[in-house]
Amino acid sequence: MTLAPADEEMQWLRRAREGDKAAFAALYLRYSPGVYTLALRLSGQRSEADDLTQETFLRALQALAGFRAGSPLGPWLKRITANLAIDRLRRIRPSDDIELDALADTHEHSPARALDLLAALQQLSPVWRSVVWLALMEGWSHRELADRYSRTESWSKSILSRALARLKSLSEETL
Amino acid sequence: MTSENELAQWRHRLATLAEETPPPSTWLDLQLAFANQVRPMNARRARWPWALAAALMLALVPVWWMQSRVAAPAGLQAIHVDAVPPAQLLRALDRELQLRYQDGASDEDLAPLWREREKLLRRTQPAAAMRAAETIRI
Repeated sequence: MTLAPADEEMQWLRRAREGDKAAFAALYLRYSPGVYTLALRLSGQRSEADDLTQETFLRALQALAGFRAGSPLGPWLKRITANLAIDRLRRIRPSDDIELDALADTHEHSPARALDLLAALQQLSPVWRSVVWLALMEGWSHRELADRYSRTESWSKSILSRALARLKSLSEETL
Repeated sequence: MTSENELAQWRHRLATLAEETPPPSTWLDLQLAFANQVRPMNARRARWPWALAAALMLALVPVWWMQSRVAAPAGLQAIHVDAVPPAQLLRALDRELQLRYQDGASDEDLAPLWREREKLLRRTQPAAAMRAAETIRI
């Protein structure tokens, strides 16, 4: 009898929690690219993305009780990653500095040539980048973003709008 | 504010960015952290069979005490022995064993429970217990 993917993953998670390395490796192989990519997009640094990836998988083992059986594992893991990344961001940058940090990104950028999208993303502050990525690629609502940053929905909408305008100008700047 | 159409275009553009793969060192470091994390978890889990066995023993002590202290009429002594239905204890043990198996407990974790079960069986039905134990071990 073959297991449905969600059941199979649940078993992997349970077995990994019991110390089964093979089950843990199976989970890692399937989900680490998605988790790592998200961590990299949010943090902008490979060393930070490494840490976030590791922490995500270890947290998932601890937080197994919080996982609803039958639901897909990928989004749950990514939610853990995003929460960890935002927590770090907030620890490094207390809430009062978030706005200042965002304003700092409006300074004139003078690249020698048009930036590709990835490089343009890197030019955004971590907060702006996280809002862009989580809202557009991970489907977070402005309410969820506002809650996580202890801000308002209009703050989240405003950051998204300004960040996209900035991205556009960065990627359109030419020689 | 950004229009829905514009947001959709951005989504499309961002989706074209390639997925990244973590470097091998991430997995190596994670394995070490995993080993450190699951060891204490397993140690905690391994303690529960002993706690259950202890609870069972404690539950039996008052019954044993009553049987040894109360000078009941001969006819009632049989009733006292039957007052602790071993079948009920067995069922409880079996339920625990089943749950723990489903939960992926190791044979080592379950050994104390099996020993309790065999002791209980031996006390009540020595011959049947031996047969049952043999069957189970097979």
